[in-house]
Amino acid sequence: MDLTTSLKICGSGLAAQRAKLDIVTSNLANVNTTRTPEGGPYRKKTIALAAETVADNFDSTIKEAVRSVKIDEVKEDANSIKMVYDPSHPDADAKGYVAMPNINIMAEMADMITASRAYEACVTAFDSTKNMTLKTLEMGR
Amino acid sequence: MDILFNKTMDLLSGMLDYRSKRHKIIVSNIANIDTEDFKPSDISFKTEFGKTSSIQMTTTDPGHIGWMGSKNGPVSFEVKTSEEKVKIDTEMANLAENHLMYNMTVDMLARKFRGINTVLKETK
Repeated sequence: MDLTTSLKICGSGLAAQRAKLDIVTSNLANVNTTRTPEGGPYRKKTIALAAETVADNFDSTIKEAVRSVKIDEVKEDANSIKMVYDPSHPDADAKGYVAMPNINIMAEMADMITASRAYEACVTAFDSTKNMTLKTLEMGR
Repeated sequence: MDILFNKTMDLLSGMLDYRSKRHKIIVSNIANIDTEDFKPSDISFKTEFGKTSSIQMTTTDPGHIGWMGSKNGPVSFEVKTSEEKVKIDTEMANLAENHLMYNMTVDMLARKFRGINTVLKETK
């Protein structure tokens, strides 16, 4: 029995969901950002997660089924710019248009709730693992 | 030793093994809920538990029929990978069920140990 593997997997899930939440928050915070260190307006970012095999020498039967999760890459959406007519804006061009990040707040909020629910699911799984380990220790009493 | 630690122990420890394996698989399914192309798995017995652990029925007469399904050998498991995406409600239900069954198995083992303990203490 090796429940620490379960704890590790839970941890990887928590980290992944938290990273996703970070990205969503960054997108939400920068809905109106027109200036970035790289130049130009802020571009919407998305995160891609990947499954990873776990090094566990004890269980050969379930080796293929048990996967932890890792952050594969954070992609920047190059097309996520919309032109908004606002001549009074300091970054407006000669015609009065400003390049703004094209971020859909509703979609971001939905993503945020999904990530937060998935985080909660991981917390429940972690709790369950902890409870099982404690129960096993109780057996000897 | 067989009188003290009989087949109940074997059955229960086999059960614990299965439950902890299943827990690991369910946790991995939950952690990978947002992973693209991830297919959830589940684990089940390939052979029946009672049949694999050689429980013998006592035959005191040649006319008695023994335990029909007694076969020796370790319990083997089968991991099945689903073609659908991870369903969080199913996984959470499985997690809770597996958790309860695990705790129950541990409780039963603890009771067994306590029983032996009582026998050892009370016969002094």
